[in-house]
Parts: sequence; C-alpha cells; structure tokens
Amino acid sequence: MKEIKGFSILPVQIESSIHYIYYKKHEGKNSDNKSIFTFNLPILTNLLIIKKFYQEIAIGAIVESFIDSKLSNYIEDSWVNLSKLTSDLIKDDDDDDLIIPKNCGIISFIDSSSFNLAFNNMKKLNKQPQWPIQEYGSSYMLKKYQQEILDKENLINEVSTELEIFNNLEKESIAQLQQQTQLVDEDGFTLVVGKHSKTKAGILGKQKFINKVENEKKIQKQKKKEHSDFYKFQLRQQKKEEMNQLLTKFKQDQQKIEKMKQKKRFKPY
Amino acid sequence: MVKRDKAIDEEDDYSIPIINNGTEQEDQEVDEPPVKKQKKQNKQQLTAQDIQIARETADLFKSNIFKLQIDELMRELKIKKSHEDKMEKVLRRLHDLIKQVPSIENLSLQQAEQHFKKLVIPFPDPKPSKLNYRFSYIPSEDISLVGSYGLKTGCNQKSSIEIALTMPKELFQAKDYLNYRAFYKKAFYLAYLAEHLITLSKKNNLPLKISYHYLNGDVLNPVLRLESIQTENPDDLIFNKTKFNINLIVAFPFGIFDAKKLLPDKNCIRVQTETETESLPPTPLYNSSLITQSTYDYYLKYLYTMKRSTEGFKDACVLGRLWLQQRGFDSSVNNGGFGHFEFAILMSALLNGGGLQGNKILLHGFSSYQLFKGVIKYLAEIDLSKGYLSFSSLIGENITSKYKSDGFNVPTIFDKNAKLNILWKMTSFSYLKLKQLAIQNLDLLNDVVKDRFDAILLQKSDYDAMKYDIVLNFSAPDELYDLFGPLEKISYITFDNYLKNKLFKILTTALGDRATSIDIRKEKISKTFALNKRKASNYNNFIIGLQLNSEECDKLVTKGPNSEDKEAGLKFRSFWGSKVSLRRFKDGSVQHCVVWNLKDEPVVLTIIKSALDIHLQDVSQHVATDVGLFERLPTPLLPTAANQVITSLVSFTALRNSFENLSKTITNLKLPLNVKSLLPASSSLRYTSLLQPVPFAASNPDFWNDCILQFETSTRWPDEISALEKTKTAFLIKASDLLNDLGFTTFLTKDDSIPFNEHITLLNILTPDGYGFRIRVLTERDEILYLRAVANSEKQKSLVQEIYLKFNQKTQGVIKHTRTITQLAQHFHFYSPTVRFFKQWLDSQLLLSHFNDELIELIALKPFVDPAPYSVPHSIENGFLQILNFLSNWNWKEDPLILDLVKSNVDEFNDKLTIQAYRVIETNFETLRKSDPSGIKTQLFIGSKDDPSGILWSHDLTLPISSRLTALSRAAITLLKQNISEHNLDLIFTPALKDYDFTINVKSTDLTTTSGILPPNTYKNLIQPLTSFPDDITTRYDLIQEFIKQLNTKFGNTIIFSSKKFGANVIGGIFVPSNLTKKKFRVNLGYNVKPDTKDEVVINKDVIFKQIHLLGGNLIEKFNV
Repeated sequence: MKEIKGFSILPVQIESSIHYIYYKKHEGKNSDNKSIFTFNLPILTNLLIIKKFYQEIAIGAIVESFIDSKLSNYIEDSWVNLSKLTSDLIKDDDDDDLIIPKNCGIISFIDSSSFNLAFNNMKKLNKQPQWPIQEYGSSYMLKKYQQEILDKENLINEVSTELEIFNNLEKESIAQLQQQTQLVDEDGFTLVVGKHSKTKAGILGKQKFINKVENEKKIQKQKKKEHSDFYKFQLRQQKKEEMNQLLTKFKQDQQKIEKMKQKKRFKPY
Repeated sequence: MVKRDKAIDEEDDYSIPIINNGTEQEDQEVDEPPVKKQKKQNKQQLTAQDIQIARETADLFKSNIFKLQIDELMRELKIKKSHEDKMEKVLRRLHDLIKQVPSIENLSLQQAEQHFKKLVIPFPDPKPSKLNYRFSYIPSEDISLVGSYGLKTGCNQKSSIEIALTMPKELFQAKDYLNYRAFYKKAFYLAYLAEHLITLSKKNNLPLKISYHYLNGDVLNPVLRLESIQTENPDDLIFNKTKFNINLIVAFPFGIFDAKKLLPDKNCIRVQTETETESLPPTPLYNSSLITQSTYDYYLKYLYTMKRSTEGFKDACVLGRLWLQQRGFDSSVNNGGFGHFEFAILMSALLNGGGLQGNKILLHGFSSYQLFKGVIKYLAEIDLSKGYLSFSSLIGENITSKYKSDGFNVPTIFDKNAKLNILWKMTSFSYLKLKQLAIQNLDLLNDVVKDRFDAILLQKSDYDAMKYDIVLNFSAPDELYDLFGPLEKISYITFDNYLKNKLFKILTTALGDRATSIDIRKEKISKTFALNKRKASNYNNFIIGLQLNSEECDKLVTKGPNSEDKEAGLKFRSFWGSKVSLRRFKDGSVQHCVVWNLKDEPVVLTIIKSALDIHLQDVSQHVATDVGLFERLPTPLLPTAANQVITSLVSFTALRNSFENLSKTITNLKLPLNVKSLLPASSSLRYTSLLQPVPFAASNPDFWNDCILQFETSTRWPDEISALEKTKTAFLIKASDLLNDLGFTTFLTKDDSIPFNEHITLLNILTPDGYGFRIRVLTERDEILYLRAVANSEKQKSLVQEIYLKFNQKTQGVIKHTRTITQLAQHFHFYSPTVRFFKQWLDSQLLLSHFNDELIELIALKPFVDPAPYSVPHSIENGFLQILNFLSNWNWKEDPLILDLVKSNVDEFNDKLTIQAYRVIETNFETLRKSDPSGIKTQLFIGSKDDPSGILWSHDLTLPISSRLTALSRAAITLLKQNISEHNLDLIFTPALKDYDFTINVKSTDLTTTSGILPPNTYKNLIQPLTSFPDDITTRYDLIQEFIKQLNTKFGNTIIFSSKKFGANVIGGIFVPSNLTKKKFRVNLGYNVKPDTKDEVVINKDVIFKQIHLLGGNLIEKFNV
C-alpha cells in the first residue's frame, strides 16, 4: 500500500521493525508550498532527527524548520487554551493553529526545490530507510528531572516581560471598555459589564447543604408566626397534605424496596 | 402428626400449628395473586388500605422503609411450604416409629451395658461403675414438638427441629437429681431408643443417620440427631433437601425433682472430701442442665401464650434469632449461650415488666421492630450481671417481672417458677460481648441518617479476624488437666468451661484497661458423635479474641497500686511476681508497676504471655497469633526506630514541627502582600504517607510536602490565568530570595499537576533539619478564572471541567482533606498504620500510582468512622481486613460511599452529617448515575462533608482500574479468610503479573536508605542516619518514575502502565481494548498505526515495543511480551 486517504505512506525501520509515517503536502491557509504535513512520527522526533533523516534519503533537501505537535509529549489528547477561556485580552493568534493533532508535525524546507526533492525522494524509495532515533535511558530521565528546576534569572526576565505585556493589554482594554459603557445606543441602553457566570454547582453537584438547611429553618420560623390552624378548613387541608406526603413517601419507599428486591438485597449474607 | 399438646388443644381452637394451617395458606394466596389481578386491585384500594399501612408503619416502625425491609426479610426467611409439608410427613412417620419401641425394665448397670452390641450408652463423665438402681425403657406418653419449629418462629437458615420425648415419671426416684443419677438413666433410655430406631426406620422407609449429639454443647444433655440419608428407593421418605435435621430429645418430666434443691447456689454432686458436705461448692451448671431438660414442653407453652397475646412476637423472634446468628451467637455453650430461646424468654419477661419498679418495658401492641429494638435496648442499658431480671413463667397469673440491682455477678435472668437461670450457659465474657454488641446496634437502630438495615440484619459478622483486634490461638497442653480437680469438676462440669473461666480471669487482671473485650471459645467443638462412642472427641484449641483500647494498649508500663496501699500492693505482687518494681512517677507518686520490654510483637501479647506463664505453668509457647504477620511496614532509618510502637507518630510529629517553624518564618517574610496562611497539604503531614518522614531522605517519593500559601485579600490579581500564575511566580521568587538568606535552600520548579496550565511554578524549600516543602500559591482569583473557563468552554466543557476538578483537588480539596484526616488520625490510633499498610498492599499490586492518595485515605477511613457491623479496628490486621471486606462487597455502580467524617457517632458532635446533608450527597450520586448508569465514566463515589460531590478524588479513575481494585480485594480477602498465614500474606503482596499484556523488568537503583528505610536484615541499633542533602537533589530521585511518566506522555492513550511507586522493579502494560480494533485512518488517531486494508489502519504494537525499548535504554533489563 502506498497511499491511504490522500496520505502517502512512508515505511521506515526502527530497530528492524517497520514504522509507518503518513505524509502529504502541507496545505491550508498557512500553506507555503514548501512544507510537508506528517502523521505518526516516531517518538521524540526533533529538528535534528529530521535533518539527519533527509540527509540520508534526499541529500540537498535542506530542512528549515520542524514544528512538532505540542501534544506529542503531553499526556492529554487535545489542547485547551486556558488563557483564551479566562480572558478576552488574548487575541486569536496563530499560536492556536499550531496545536496540530498528537504525533503530527510540519516539516518546512528552505525552498520549494528542496521540498520537491525531498517529497519525490520519499515517494521513490524502494527500501525502508533507517529512522535516525537514538537510545535514551537513564541520563535522559535524569536530565528531565533537572529540567524541572527552573533557572531563576531566566524566570525573572520571563515573568517581568510577560507581565509588562499583559499590563499594557489590560490598560488598553479597560480604556476601551470605559468608552463603551459611556456610550448610549439608539434605544437609550448602556452596556452593563457583569461578572462572568460561575458554574461550580454544575460540575460538583449541589454543595451548600448547610445553608439550605438553615434557610429552611428560617422559613419554618416565619411560618410559625402565622396562624395556620384558625379555620377548620385549614386544619382539614393540613391533615390531608400530611397524609398525602406520608403516602407519597410510602410509595417511594415501596418502589425502592421493589428495586432492592430485584437486586436480591434481602438475603442475609 | 406428632402429638399436639392437649392442654392447649382443649383451650380453644388454636393448637400449636406444627404445620401450616388454613389461615396461613390463605395468607399466601393473598400474597401471590396473579400479577394482572394485583395491579387492578392496587389502583382501587390505594386510598383505604395503603393509607392505613402507611400511617401505621410511620408510627410503629422507625420508618416506612425499615418496615418494608423487615417484611421482605421475613418473606426471604420463611420456610418453604414444600419443606414444611415434607417435614410434616417425616414427623408423623417418626412419631409412629417411636410409638413402636418396646419396653424393657429393671436392668442392672452390667445388664444395661451388655444389652447393646454395637451401641455404647452415652454416660456423662464420670462413667458409673457400681450402682444400686436399675435402668428401664417405658414408652413415653408425651412426645411433642418443641423449640423454634414448634413455636413457628423458625427460619430457613440452618435450622433443626426439636422433638422432646418425656420419660415417664415412674422411672425416677426423688433422689435421682443427685450425683448424675437422672442423667445416667436418661443415657440408657436414649441408647435404647436409638437402637430401636435404627431398625425401625429402615423397615419403615425413613432412612436415617442417627448419632448422639450434645444439645447446645451441654455434655450432660446428649440427644439423638437424625439426618436424612439419600437413597435410590422411591418409597423412601427423604428430607435432606429441606436442610433440616431432627434433634430427638429425651426429657425429664416437669417438676419431678424438688426445684429448691436445684437452685444455682446448691450442690447436687457430692464428692468425698475431708470437709463437710455443706462446704462443697455449688453446682450451677449441673443443676441448670437438669432443670432445662425438664422444661422443653413447659417453656414452649409459655412462649406460645406470649406469641398469641402479642402480634409482633413471632417476627421479633425471627429478627432476634437472625441478629444473634449473624454475630455468631446461639444457645450453645461455646457460642455465647444466648440464642433464639433466651431472646424469646427475655422478650416475654419484658412484656410482663422488667423495669426497676416492675414497669413494663415492652407492650403487647408493639410492632416486631419495636419489640426487637426494645430487647436490644434492654440488653444494652441494663446490667444483668451486677443485677438480675426476675420473672415468672407461670401462665395466666401475670406475675410482674422485676429488675433487681443486687445480683450474683453472673449473667442472670431468673425464672421464679421453674427456678432456672435462663442465662446459665452464658459466661461473664460472652455476656459482656453481647452487651457490647447490643450497645453498638442500639446506636445503629437509632441512626436516622443512614439506612442500617444491612449492617444490623443482613451482614454476617462472625469472622474472628475482623471481630477482634488480636486473635490468639491457644492449644492447651495436657498438663493443664492436672489443675482440673474434683471440686473444679463439679463446679464447671467440663475442663473447657474451667479453663475458659481461668483464662478470662488471668487475662482480665493482666490486661486491665488495655482491652475492652476478651472473648474465649473453643476453636472447634464436636457436638455430634457416633453411637458407638460414649462421648465426643475433644480438641484442645482455644481461640482468644481481644478488642483493644488503643489509648492504653501500647503503653510500656502497667501501673499498679500506690506503694502505701499495702493490701492492694500485695495482690499486685502476687499476680505479677518478680516482674514488679517500685517506680517514682513525675507527679511524685511511688507506684508498683511492671515495665515491659518492647519486642517484635504488640505489648499486649508480651503481657499475655507473661501472665499465662506465671499462672498456667509456662504455657506461652502454646500461644500462636498471626498479628505479627501484618507488621510489614518498612522500618524508618531513625535512631528511635528500635523502641517505636506501631502506632507511634513521632517521625510525623517531627515533620509537622518543622512545618510549623517554616510557616512562622514565611508568615513573617516581608513580601508586597502579607501572608495570610501556609496550610499543610501532603500525606506525610497528615500521617498517611507509606514511608515515615525521615530527615534528608530525598528518594522517598513523598519527600516533598505540598503546602498552600495564601495572601491577604487583594483585588489586584490579574484577571487572566497565565498572568496570574506569573504574578504568583514573582511572589515566590521574592520569597525564595528571602528564605535563602535565612539558611533555607530553595529553588523553583515547573508544575504540571493541573493540565493545560503551563505557567504554574512551585517554590521548593529544603529546611536545615532535612525536610522538603513545596509551596503553591492560592489566590481568591484562581477559582473565578477556572470557573470562567468552564463557562466559556463550549465544546471542550468536559475537558475544562476536569481541569477545574484538578485545581480543586490541588488546593481547597486537599486543604480540607488534610485538616480532616489529621484530626481523625490523631483520634483513631490505628488509622495511620492501617492506611499506610493498605497503601503498601496497593503498591505491591502496582495499583497505588493509579489512585490519588486522598482517595485511598478515604477508603481506608471507612472501617474507622463506619465499622458496622464490626467495630473500630485497633490493629492493622483488623483494619486492613475490614477495608478489603468493604471493597470486595462494595457495588459502586449502585451504592455511593458516604462517610461521616467525625470521631464518634455519639450525638454530642455537631458536625455530624444531617439527614438533609446526607440526602444532598445521595442526590448527587443519583444524578451522576442517571447520566452514567454503569459507571463507565465515574466509578467510585465517595461523598463527605468535605466533598459532597463525591467525585473530587475519583473522577480521574478509569473503569479497568476500579474493577481491578474490587477484583484484587476479593481475591485477597478470600485467600485470607481461608487462612491467615505468612505464605498467604506473601501471596497477596505478590503482583499478578500474568494479567498484563506485557511487562518490563527495569533496573532499579537501590534507594532504600536514601528513602529513609532501614534495609532489611540490619540491626536497629546500628543505624547510621542520613545527615545531609546532595548538591544535586535530583540525583536522589527514582529514574524509573520519570521513565513511567515519559511512557505515559507518549503511549498513555493506548497503554495503561502500572508500576510500583516505591522501589519499582517491573512495569506492567495493558493495551486499551478500544484501540486494538481496526480504525478508519484519521490524522488525529493519536497512536502508532500501520496500514491494514484500504482506508483502515491498526495499532502497530511491534514498533511501539521497539520505541519503548529505545526510550528506556539502559533502564530496561528485560522485556516480556
């Protein structure tokens, strides 16, 4: 098989096993006619490995850049941009489009001739080339641990620049908003800026049972002040309601028991 | 039909309905009409009948639901009609056979013995040698059905049917109550009857296996046990499918002996001693057995009258029987001596009074539930040992029962008419145990929040290892029989009774406050024996079950009386002998005391062994226990480890002190915003980390202790998430600089515990005293932003909700959890070691890393806050087994686990869950299950006041992992219930690797000492404690954990990886089944695929393995597919 759903298939060897890379010309709005879109790249692929690979199969095809999916080394399968969800200050930038699916990547060549060379050579291969992957192991893991510790100087710089950018964005936005709230539209309405809605209960179910109970107590207290047993019909009504309540509860219980019975819940064990 | 009782027959048309009579059959028809008919009826009758029932049950029963549950239970327990019919036939035929047994008269002892060829007369000890009276068999005039089957309070749970043959009066002389004479006569009567029944039953197509049987374990009361034999002959009457067997009792006529002479304080066995007859000890067991054997019929009539006058009596009897049975109690000597009969008599007595002034405790109009609860309440609240209940079984006189507060210090319910102590088969310890159970169950019955039906009646709770904290097995050596002299023999009748009593006395004195309950019984007892044996064979193994007082049990000093109290001092010395020393205590008092050396066993065990050695001739070598098998937690690499008891929290306290210091330091730091609080949020800070915190032990996976830092309120936090995190980071950098100046080592790390929030940083602090803390900042803005993200999330809603839950876990959730667990761990002394042991087990099965620590801790809390029907565990063994037992029975698809996280269920605590709160949690569960009925998304639901949602800690679990937890718990408890042994424990701690699709053996570096663990087989006193951190702390980390993390980021969506969190040496992998099938080709499949056919692809396992191999590199030892 050479193709699947418009993707070409490139078998490569990883330690004598065959791994399949699926690729096609990168198209879409950012297309520059010199990039290849790939799916199912082997793990830990980076620019260096890509370059090595093309040196092997298409000498002269110079790789300019490699964009890996952020998700390839992430435990989740799709990406959420929390910044965008929490603030409208962050504009739709290209950053989001670069979140391509897991294990995908975009390889860009220096020019279209490099691209053509590489693309054609990939198709013409008649035996599976070795994928230039290295062995990782303990030193790699240790490095990962060490990388968790952040360099303080870098961090300070990063924090200060980013906060500055944010502050500026915020100032702009506030000024803009201020303008809007002062505008009275044709119908005489002004824009009201409200808090964002919260949905905690939606996720965690009901939470505040304590308040609820207290509220109920309050309501009950209030009710006590009114005379609800002045007229005979009130008494009758009350009794009837009580009885009905009792009855519904009883019916509910009966149903519950029926359910438990079906599950054979009454066998001593 | 077996003869009905004449007296009752004549009274009116009610007879003892041995067999279902007409009315009950009608009942049944009403019960089970054709389905269609019933539906119609229901609609029409709704208002009249149902209102009546609804109103009644609300009044008479705790709640409707309880009443309905009882009804269902009764139906479940009801003896099958077909079985009743079958037994009716059997009993009729048997009755005819008995009538055919011919008389024989006036045999001498020798003749009597020679009369039998194969049979042996079941004479009690001592076997008669020379007698001046004769043995006879004259057919009985009086054969009646007695016991619960006769009363129709029997149930289908391992029942026997009792038939009493009363020996004719003329066989006895007035003095026969003395020196076993009546018993000898009865023994002959019984053997003769057996001999004839063997042949008669064969002839008359009623194939029976007949053996002797000690009724209720009373060696003075052998009866014939008749069991059905399966044959091929269609004419034979076979009843083994009914599960019934028949006890044929030979009884004495009622009132034939002078009852006054058989009072419990009288002597009826005259042995020759140098002293006078008057000074012979009383023979209460002998006397009571004699009376009991003359009152079967008599008490049946009494109970029957009660049953007729009280509608709920019958059902209450069945409830009582089931309740006792589930707890291992019945009428027999070895099982507490309190069963259905005793329960029914007590209930009858209470219907006639029972209060101090003879006021009625129970009323005839009570429902079965009220009667049952009333009896439990009476048992729980009234002391029948210090005082006693006096009643009369005389029918028709309505003599008031009275409680008298001055008793005999033996459990007593005294029948004035028959002169019998109904509780004669009870011991002081079985009574205490019963009282304890009653107290516990009264609480359950009073619980209005949770439905306790299951714990009270349905669950069997007689498994020793969960009933007791420590179970000892004592095999009494033969030498001990020397202690059992003639006087002991007449008081106690059997060596077993004597020794149990003796052991109880020794242990009670020795343990004092350390034990709350001591229970002693024979491990195995043979009540049934062949007709060619005179008595049943004897086993010498005793089970001693202890429930401990965790406040006291581990104390190293047993304090005795003050040195000035000469008399008490002498007593104390005479008990402990040379072990006693005088000590001056901090308060200046000088006291006698015994100091115990800590060995590799609980202190109570050391004490028990010493006491037994002193008082029972060096028998401690015969005491075996499996409590030591559960001491598997790693020993900390600390100088104090040598004299640390298992419940010690010293190492945790040291860490908490360090935290307190840090907290003070940080609060005082000069930061742009004032610090409001630094709150603990790690397992070590709440006493639950598997390894004890040891200074400088950086390899411990729980080395870093999470803490939550909160500043004073500010409105200036940025309103966007990454800017907010950056601002927090700025604060942490500042704090880090300030802390460095104060002698702490600090650095910042990137945190990935909340997915998609990539800008979180944590401040890591190494304190000079060797602990690690990791600080996370929480602001009041965070939650607003996460919730806003959820609100704005649209298509990604469920994913963003997960993020919010993670955030909640890592901040508010863990703060609350840590606070609650800390309090409870300080209160329940065995919680900490138990939960740590449970974690160790999970880790050994490669499961621990799949769970949040918090989730495990909540599960482990179950037996401590809600142990019913067992009680709060005070040993690792008990706690661990109760956890397993719960997990193996927890049907999480249908039931939530709702925990009331309070120290005690007694009402004084205000923060108990209210009914409303409980309902809220239940409703949350119901809502959850509506959208996910079979638990594919969320399995375990654990709600509490800290987390009414019930899913905070379990939402990220997966179905295979939850199912595996249940399956492994089941396997483990099944194995341990068979036998708790070193071998079986090793087995449950061995991971089941064959269940994985592939396993990887990895090269692990030895991190034992750097994790703060004393390497096995080293001496505790040669400990070289750790004293410093290395320059690069990451060199102490476990590389395998990073490997697994990398595997999860690369292959986590296709393979579930499992490995140990502590000292991983193997990684197991299971392919996610849904990814094994062929898929249409898509670029967002996310895992490694090879082309299959046309548009389809399939997982490329081979190359995945190769890549894992390359990733692991030198860490991989062996790859097993």
